[in-house]
Amino acid sequence: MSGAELPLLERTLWTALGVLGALLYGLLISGIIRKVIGRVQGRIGPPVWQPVIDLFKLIFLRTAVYHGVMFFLGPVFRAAGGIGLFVFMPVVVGVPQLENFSFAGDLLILMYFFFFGQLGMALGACEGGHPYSPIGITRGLSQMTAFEAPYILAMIAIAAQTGSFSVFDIVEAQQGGVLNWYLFQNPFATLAAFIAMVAMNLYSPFDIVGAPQEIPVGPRTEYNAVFLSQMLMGRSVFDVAKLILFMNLFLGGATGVVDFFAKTFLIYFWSVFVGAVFPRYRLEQSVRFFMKWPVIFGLASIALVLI
Amino acid sequence: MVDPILLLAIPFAAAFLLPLVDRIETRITASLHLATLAFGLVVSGIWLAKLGAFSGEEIDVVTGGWPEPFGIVLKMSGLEAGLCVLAYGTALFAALFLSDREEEAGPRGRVLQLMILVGSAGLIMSRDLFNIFVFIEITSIATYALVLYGREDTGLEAGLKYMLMGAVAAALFLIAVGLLYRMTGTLYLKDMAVALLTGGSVAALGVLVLLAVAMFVELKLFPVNGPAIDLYDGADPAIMALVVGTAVNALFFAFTKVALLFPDGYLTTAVMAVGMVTYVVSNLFALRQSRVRRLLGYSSSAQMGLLVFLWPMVKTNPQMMFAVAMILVSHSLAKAGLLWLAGIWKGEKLEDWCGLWDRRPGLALLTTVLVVSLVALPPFPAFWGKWVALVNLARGDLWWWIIPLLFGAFLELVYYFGWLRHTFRTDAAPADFPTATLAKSAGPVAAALALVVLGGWLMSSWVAGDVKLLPAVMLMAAGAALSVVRGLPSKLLSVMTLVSLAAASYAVYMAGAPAHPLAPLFLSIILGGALLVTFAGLGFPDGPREYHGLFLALTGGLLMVVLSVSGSRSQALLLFFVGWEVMTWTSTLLISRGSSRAGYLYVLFSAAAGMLLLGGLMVAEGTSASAVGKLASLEGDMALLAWILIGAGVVIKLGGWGVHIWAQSAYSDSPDRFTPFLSAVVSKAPVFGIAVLMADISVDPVTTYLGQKLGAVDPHQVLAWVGGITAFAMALLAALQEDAKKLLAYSSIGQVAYIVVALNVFSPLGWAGALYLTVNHFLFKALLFLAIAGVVLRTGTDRMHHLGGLITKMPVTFVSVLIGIIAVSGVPPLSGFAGRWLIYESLNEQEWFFLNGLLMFSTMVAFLYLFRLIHSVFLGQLKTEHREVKEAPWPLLASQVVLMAGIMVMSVWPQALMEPLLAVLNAGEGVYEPLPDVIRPVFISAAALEIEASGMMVTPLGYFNPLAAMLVICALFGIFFVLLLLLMPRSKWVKQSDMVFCGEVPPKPEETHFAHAIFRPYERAYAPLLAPRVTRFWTGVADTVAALVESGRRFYTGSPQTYLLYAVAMIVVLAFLGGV
Repeated sequence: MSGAELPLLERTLWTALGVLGALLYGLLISGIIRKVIGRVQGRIGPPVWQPVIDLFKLIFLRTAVYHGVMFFLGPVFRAAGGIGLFVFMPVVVGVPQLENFSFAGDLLILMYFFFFGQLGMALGACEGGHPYSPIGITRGLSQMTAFEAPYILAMIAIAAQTGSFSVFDIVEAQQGGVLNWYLFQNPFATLAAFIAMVAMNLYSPFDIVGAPQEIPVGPRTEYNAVFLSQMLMGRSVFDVAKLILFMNLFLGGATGVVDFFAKTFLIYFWSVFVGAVFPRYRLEQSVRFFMKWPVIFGLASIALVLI
Repeated sequence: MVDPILLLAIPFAAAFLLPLVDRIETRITASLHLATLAFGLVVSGIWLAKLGAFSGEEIDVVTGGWPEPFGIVLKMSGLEAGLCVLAYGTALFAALFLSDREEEAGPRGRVLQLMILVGSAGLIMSRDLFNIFVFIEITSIATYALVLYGREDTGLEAGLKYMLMGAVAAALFLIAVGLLYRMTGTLYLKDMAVALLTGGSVAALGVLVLLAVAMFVELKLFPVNGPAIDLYDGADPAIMALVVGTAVNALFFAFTKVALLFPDGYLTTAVMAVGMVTYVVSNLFALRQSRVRRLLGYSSSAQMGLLVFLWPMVKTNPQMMFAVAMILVSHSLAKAGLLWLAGIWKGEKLEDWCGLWDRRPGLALLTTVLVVSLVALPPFPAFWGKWVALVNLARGDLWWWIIPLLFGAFLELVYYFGWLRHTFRTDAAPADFPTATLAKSAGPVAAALALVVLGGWLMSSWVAGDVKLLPAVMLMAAGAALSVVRGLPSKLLSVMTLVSLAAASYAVYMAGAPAHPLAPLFLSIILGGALLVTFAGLGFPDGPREYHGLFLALTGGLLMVVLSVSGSRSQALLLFFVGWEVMTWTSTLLISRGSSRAGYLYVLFSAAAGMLLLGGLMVAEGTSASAVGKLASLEGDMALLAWILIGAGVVIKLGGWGVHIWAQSAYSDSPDRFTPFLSAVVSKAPVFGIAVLMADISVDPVTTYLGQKLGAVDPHQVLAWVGGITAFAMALLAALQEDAKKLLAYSSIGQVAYIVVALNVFSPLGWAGALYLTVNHFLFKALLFLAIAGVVLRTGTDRMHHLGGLITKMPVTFVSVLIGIIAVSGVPPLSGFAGRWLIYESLNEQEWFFLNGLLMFSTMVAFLYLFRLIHSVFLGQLKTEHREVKEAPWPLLASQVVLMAGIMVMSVWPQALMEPLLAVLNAGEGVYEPLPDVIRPVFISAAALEIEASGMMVTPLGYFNPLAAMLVICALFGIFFVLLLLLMPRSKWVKQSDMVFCGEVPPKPEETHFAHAIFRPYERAYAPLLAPRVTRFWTGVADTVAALVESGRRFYTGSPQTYLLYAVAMIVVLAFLGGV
């Protein structure tokens, strides 16, 4: 846990600032990936700041329809969930201004709070009554259980290697040189978690959930206008929070701003590189895929700790 | 004082007078008959009161003024008096039952009835070998005549075969009497025993074998019981009831006297073995009987076998006398009662008893009480008898007999409940329903009352005025009372139930701190759960009336389980088991009302669990340790054995993978108003069992062959893995269900498995997690089952894809389910997370990483079914037929609101629950203060949970601040909610059908609501795991047993020659083995 305690108000203000930064960062990197994928596919691609434009466009659309209370609250769940994950995360360990509200819980709360926004959004989307929403959600849930298997094993291995579930302790344990990073200390865990990450970010080959040509956008089919804007905000910060988590777990955390951007950007581009070139798995293929090699890597990562 | 000889003389005289009186005035015949019996009952009652059942005081009754050896001297003591009471009582009610038959047939039947009594009274009181022979003959001849007269059907054939066997037995007996008189020069059993003891020879052993086999035939022991069983099937059941109450008991008593002659050693062991083989084999054969009276016949044979097995031990151990007496009385009353009921209902086959609960609940209640009493479930007399027998066996050298004894008892439960199962069915009820006249129902009512009163008295003597146990006993008594007044309006009965529960809660509170430090937690769950579920029950339409009585008795049983555990109570293990078994049979009956199949599966597995648990307790009772340390004093292999037996029982009761099939059907098919209690509260009894029984036993890691390579295996870890596999399997199965209750059923089993894992981590941290989860499971499971009960009540279905869009119709129920599933899932900020967090931290601390992975993965799989539940029922398109559906009744909602409030408190302020528990768990080695007589488990690891003043929960591996998490999440939620409201001034609420549908008109809700088979791709991915292996396995077991029994039954060919051959073969084998 963090040693330095900030007054609550100051901590809140710093965190709010962090959230805004993360939002911007999240929107921009998703702009970059669209550009990259466009180039890979031989297109020019949209401008990098297109997601920011989209966000404002959505907020100021003149009509917004909704299908009920849960539908209305779905985006709120999503935004609170995505941003909450960031808020519970220590962004840069050792800098109290960037440790957010991480005193609320350790790695396990990060792992479980993950689902808060997704669950809320799923329920909201389902109230929309459109069959594509539950189809997308059941696919998402099924695939989620599958990629969580290697991810969980990797987390347990890391926690076991550190002897603690505290993110602070995990970062602490990786200090003192690049080779102390769990990327090198436990390559199996890294492999398992990074494969899971591609699915976590819904890039191909694991993009059956939204499957654009098949069930337009899947879960979000009925969402529109300002509802969609909240979901976009939540999603962007959520993505950044995941990057920070992976950085803290495998790349020794961040020591400064440059370090932070370099590492998170690299991690993000791992999914992009994979996601830009693969065709799509069917759901059962994807589930079986994760139950094979990634799970074996996950088990190996624990075996490595035990030995 | 009335001379006991009159017990013999008066019926004898009356038998001769009856034909005469009948000539004069027919109406007097019946009165004279009944008056004779009443006189006998009063006289024997007076003697019983004077001598006391077990005082040992005895009186010689000298007949005709001639002393021994010239005159016949009879004996009267408490035992004789008791048996005479039983005989005359049975005869009296049998006479009432048969009165309409005898009205038509004249005095012959009455004469024969009296003659059976003469023979039986003689057998009971005589004390010399020849007189025993004479009275056996009188009894037998009267029995043949009574069974046969007026019959032309199968009964006639059966009676003749029986007579033939009887004649052979009599011949053997007489030869033996002659030879023994020649050897010893006396006929008096005591003198003869002394003479044989001093001058025992091989020849004497040969003669005694003849005598023993003659008695085996009379007592219907295996393998010479074929004709007797045919007789049960063929004869009038009311007459068989008379025979059971008189001749059968008297013959057994005669056997006990003859057994005096058997020398210790070979013959005694042989007799015990024959008894035990009869007990097991007869019960085994009874499994496949399709005819009620044949089943009762096998059961009688089995009971006689048990008594014959126990009797030789009375000589060395006077406590066994109590066991024998209780089993005999219970068998006699219950069997006679059941035979009378068979006479009233006239159902020949088991299936003919369909619809009994539906159409004649009074008769059904009687049948149930008698069956439960016969299979020795508490609080009925036979249970106390069996317990004493088991304890004494466990403490002696003959402990290994416990194994067949428990196996036989298990079989007994299986077939008796297999019969009862049909009484709950409603699908094939017969067209006409016989009504019981007063004369006919008097017998079974009296038998049931006698058993209830005797059982209650025995229980109160065991509880022995212990104030702390009073609430449990109170509730059981209230349950019995409510069963009697079940004719009252249903709402009134509910209110009476609530008052009883409130009174019990008050009594628990007044009785002061319970003996075990974990008891208060479980007591709160039980009583709180019972109150809430009963209150919610007010919202249901009137159901079966017996529900309330059984529910109270069940709650009483649960209280007994929790209250019994105490170091200073010498009978703690017994009382624990009493509570456990009361809980089992009452819940069986409650479940059976929803589905007879589910109830039967439940009792099948619960009976096995009960026997295993009992076996484990017997290992402990076998030690000489004081009450406190019985379990804790076990060491080495014995400790492991007890641990495994109790563990197996508990795992079955919790529905571990492999034995979960009962739990799934019990939770999904039990009545909707009862399921919340069954799943949320009753499932906590085995959890308590692990925490107080298994934890007391210190088991060391076991070194196996594999272990030499891999290190020793910790049994706790094995059990934890069972929990982990269960959690995963149940989550996966739950996701694939189409019915809401089935889904919740699997979920419930899976969630309890987490508690098992946490308890077996065996550190204060793991236990903190387990106890936290226990409370949480109670809250969310009761909440979800109540919410779904409301949906089923309003829509009439729990098929999820038939529902949908109910959120607007049943908003409160929706919120219940939403809160419930978040609490199950473990997503912060609700209470589920803290439980998950504690388990994962404790597992990593123990370095059980792989298990931790499996458990976390199961939680992920659980998301599938949780989503399915809420989406399919409440979200998506509302079906046309549900447009007018109303919100659930207010008592249901009120109960749900209370449970939701509980979840909220647990979510932000777990200290309220955890701090008192941590004070107990973190107290360090040694004993619990201030309860020095309760042993604290010796934890493997000292890792503990600490709660700081800020509310921060800290473990050696991590930290979690529930209040901070809740506040942050609520703040974020609030901010974005307000933001949404501010940004969106022109929003519009449109219907579900108003959606983006590629420019087409959306189809009707039935086609648009995506809710059927929604995880089909997932199912495909897991196909190799999902083959129904467990069901196939148990079906295979059932088929194998059936085939085995079927081939065993060929043993009884129905030909008298074969039966005679068996008798001869038995003599040869017994003599050969004895070295004659």
